[in-house]
Amino acid sequence: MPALLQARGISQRFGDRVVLDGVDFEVPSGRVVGLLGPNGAGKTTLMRILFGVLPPDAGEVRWDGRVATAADRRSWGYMPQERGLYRDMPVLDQLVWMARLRGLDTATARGRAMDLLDRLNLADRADDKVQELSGGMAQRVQLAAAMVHEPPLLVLDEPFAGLDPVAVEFLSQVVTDHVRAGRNLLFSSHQLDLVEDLCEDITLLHRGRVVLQGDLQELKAASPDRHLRVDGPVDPAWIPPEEATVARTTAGETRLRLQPGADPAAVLDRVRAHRPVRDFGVEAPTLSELFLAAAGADPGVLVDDEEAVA
Amino acid sequence: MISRWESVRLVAGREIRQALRGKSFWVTAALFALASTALMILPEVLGGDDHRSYEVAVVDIPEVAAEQLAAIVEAAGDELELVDAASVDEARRLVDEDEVHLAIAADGDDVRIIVQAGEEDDLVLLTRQALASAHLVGGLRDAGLGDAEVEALLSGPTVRVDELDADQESREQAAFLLALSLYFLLFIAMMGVAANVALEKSNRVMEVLLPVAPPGVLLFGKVLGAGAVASATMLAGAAPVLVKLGVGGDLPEGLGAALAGGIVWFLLGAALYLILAGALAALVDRQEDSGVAIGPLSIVLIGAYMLGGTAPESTISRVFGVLPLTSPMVMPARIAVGAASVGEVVASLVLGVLAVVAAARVGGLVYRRAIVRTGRRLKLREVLTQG
Repeated sequence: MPALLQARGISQRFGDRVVLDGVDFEVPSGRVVGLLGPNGAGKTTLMRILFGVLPPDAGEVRWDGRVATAADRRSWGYMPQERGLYRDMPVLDQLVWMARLRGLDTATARGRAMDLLDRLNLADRADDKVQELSGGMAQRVQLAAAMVHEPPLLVLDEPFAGLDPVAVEFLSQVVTDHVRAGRNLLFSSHQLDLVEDLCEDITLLHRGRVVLQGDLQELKAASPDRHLRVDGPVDPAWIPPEEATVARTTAGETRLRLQPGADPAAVLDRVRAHRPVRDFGVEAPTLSELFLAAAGADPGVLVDDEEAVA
Repeated sequence: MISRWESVRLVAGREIRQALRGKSFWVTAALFALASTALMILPEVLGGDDHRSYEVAVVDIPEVAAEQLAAIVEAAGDELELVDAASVDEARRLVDEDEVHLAIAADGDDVRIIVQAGEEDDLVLLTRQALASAHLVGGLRDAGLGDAEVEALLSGPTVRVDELDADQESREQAAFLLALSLYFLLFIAMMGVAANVALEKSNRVMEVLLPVAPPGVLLFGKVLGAGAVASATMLAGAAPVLVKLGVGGDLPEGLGAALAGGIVWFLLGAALYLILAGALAALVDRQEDSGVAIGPLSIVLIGAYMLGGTAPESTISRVFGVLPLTSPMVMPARIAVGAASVGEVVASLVLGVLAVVAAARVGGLVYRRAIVRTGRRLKLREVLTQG
């Protein structure tokens, strides 16, 4: 079955800057699809083009086998990054209003909105203004606003940015539920590690181009790259570069990227020659490692702006 | 599927509901109603009694002069109290210290009136008349005439003064008040539309709304909502006038015509200014910049207000009363003072309607193009020239 939503050859420039360069991608039904890439990759621009907010310089957006119309787009749901709500408007009022703009009558809109608020644990805040809610709560109201008309396609721009782990878990569940119900969903994120377990299909964007695309597990399995994970720090000088290089060091562990043909056991022994190793494993690349390999990019591009500031 | 009109209604409805939720609408409407009520009631309370009570110091004046002065002042409906002063110097002191309004000092046949320079013109006149009468009465009595004969001679024909344009002052006041109210309401509504448009652009609500409703619907709904809120405020100010009219009270001359004209031009002005404000505010990326974005409009509005409020009869007002943008302030003021010709009124109306149509086209285009281009402040020219 062909995907309901397809984008073909989307290109967009702002002045001299090429923001999107011939992007093809699709959202298959029943799959959690992630549009991923570092900040500035072109994810938000692509989403605006999907929704017709921005007309692309080239390419087309297709829905159900034909070019998407304004009526198609009105039926979809969109949650822009962060804001996207009237902060001085009460929660329930806002949801009902948004649903009515999409053609629902007041009674249906009100019923759906209350249902959603219930599911999102916000029923007791229905009459509060959005500005009186915490960031996580406001995010859930935003999600409700995008979903209140039961859209066949839900598009979320950076839904996980700035959320605490509990909220991330909660939102992941909502996303999965939506998809398991046979509907279509696309979300974007620059936090590759955070969404690694959630994504089923990915489109990785870098500087306006698709650098990797497909079923995430298949992509991982198909990658020739293997990594040796050991607990504790590793001095790069301990290992000859023709065997492995230090890919990443976090507080508790180090990931060594094995060169093609290198023997993981031999590399492990070189570490053990300097200190004991309590935990280790040979693993397929993570999502960020896949991205870095495919984009040929410096790991610095994946540093989260918000984290860098904080 | 929802119709365009239904979408406009929903967008306008949200604007109105939000305005009614806020304090500022109620405060403004209450102020308008209070100020207008005060204007309607105060003249009734204060204006009924414009009689004065004069205090006059006298030094050695003949009894007949005092009698005549009292008779003349009372005939004019005012009251007189005479204060005896011992000397001319004391009389001067009393006038100088504002103890009395005026002093009359006689030294034999030499009579002088002492008064602060430039004040009490009416009383000086009455006093001169009284002194002349007293002289006449004295002469007639000396000639042997009785009191009855003297009185008959003195009561000549009654003279009435017809003042032309007696209501001009109140017409000018009506024009000024109207221009001030229109300016105030338009300015508030314009700032509101601009701030809301810039806010929706900066908080990304636009990105959610644009796929749902066309930009023209969003702009027009917003203008309609803000216009309705401003009209409600205007109505709060007009209500006391209408009530007074209903119970048959006297209105300041010119206010009725000015108000009727004011409503027509207010609607024209609101449509024109609010559409343009919405389009200009779409150029900026932050709400704080919305006031700057509509700066040129504010300047035109202030200029038109000053013209309409202070010089509605001038030649320059004749021109700006016809031109769109300025006519909403100037024309009602000209109508109030009775300076507008029928030709001017018609030309002003026709041009005003045309301008609203043009503004809707150009403003809609600018809004549609600018509202989706975020990241920096846009120039009007680049939005108009680049598709």
